[in-house]
Amino acid sequence: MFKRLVLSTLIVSLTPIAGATMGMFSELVLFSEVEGVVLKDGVPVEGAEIVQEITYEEPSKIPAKTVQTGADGRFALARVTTGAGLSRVIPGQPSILQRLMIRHNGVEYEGWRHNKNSYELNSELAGRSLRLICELANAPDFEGKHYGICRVAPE
Amino acid sequence: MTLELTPKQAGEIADSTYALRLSDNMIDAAVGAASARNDFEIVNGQRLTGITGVGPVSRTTGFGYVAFGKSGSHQGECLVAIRGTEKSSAHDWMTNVRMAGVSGPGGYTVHAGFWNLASGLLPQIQRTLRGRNPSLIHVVGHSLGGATATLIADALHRSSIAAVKLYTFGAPRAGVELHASALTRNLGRRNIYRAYHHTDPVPMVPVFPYAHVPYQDEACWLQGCGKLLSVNDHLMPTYLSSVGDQSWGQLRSAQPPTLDTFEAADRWLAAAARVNSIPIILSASALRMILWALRWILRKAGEIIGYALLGGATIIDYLAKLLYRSVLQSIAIARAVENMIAAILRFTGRTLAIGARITEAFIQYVLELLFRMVTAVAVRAINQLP
Repeated sequence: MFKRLVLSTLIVSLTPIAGATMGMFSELVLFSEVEGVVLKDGVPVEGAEIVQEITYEEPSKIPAKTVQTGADGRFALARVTTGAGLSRVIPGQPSILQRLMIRHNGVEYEGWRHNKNSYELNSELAGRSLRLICELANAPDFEGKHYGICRVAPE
Repeated sequence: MTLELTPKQAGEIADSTYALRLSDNMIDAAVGAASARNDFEIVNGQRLTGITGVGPVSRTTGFGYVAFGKSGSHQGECLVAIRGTEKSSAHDWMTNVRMAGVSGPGGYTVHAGFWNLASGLLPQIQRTLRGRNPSLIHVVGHSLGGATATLIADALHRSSIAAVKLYTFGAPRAGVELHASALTRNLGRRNIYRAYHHTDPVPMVPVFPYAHVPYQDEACWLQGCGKLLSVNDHLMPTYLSSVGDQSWGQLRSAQPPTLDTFEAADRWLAAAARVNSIPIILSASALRMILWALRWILRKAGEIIGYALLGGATIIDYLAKLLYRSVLQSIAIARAVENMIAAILRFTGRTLAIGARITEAFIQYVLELLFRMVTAVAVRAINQLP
């Protein structure tokens, strides 16, 4: 009861501060949904493993997720979110380290590295959907605010 | 000719440091600094570390990096980027407990917490610079990292390693007025690039006698999203959006309304104190004006009473004493202090009772009310940082 009183007092006292209640009950997007294709010299790669890692608190509380590419080389990863919760009453500046690794024929490729600095959906590409082309023959490199062998598919 | 970093470059560099809190891979910093990584070898930069937390929960985390210029416009130059601190220590650092200050670069009084962190990072920076002889060092930081960057810039300048340019976003004040004045003179006003939203609560603390660099300069005043204090307006994505692709010259051209004399402060307070005047509850502009007015009153009080050393008392104790003694000696100050108290109470949603006696304890209560509120909002903003 006392705890509830303290919390409600806290929320009421925060309300006049601009933006305080914005996003209070919304989800926090840690990794927007990804659609991609893995190619080797332009040919779709079947059975490649895509490992998705997210680090945003220490120790990392998000278990790594693995999916495989289909016969057409395509893969999809659902968006990863966390509940806003009372500790997230005020929207803030996160630092979410995102990583996609691609494993194929015993070789590990750095697919995607990005530091997501917002909880907004698709903030990785300033609002664009995450559609990636991951060419295993590429050397990992920077493209905009991400790094790896995956490049953003043309719109 | 030395080239300054653009506001976008400096902002992205400040933002990029946060990735190193949980990562020791410099690629994670370089991804965020897209507009600067072609000019500086961030990927091969030196990650700076510091200890956070105490006792068994203490651990070493990344606090920024040092990177050198690539061939081109920044060849031979160096970049030092500092991130803000852990949220767990933010409260300590922003409250009255630690505002008393310590002797920092050049013997000037600076904020104890910021100097403590700067002192831990400086040997790492100096080790990295050894044998490199850069022509220019760009020092960049956001939030508490901006205040720490300010003291690092001061120390690096004093060690005569190279010329220094300082860039901060939403930084609190790092040292007292004498320090700010000396550092402004030493680095040169045009080599200090301070950007802040008028609604960001963090640059409003710590209060007088702490002062910003460049000293007595509005620097790059950015319009916040609304009229109220806003924690969102403290965050780097908001700063990056505000500076966009503008130049420092463009950012410097916007100047906020200000109170440039005691008389102007007196007039503003008289208007703000009236119950039926403009609404000022939690207004960022009103808070700014109140803090300006407080500064002018304290200056006037200092002229009359003289400043004593801060000693062991808290700053609020000291300010209340100074104000009360001057109230007893000057009718002009008495009127200004009464109006300021009424304005502060209105800002916090309260009203000054008619006929209330202005005592030292009452001044202290009102100042505490104001500082606690500003500090609480500032700490809340800092707590949002990773």
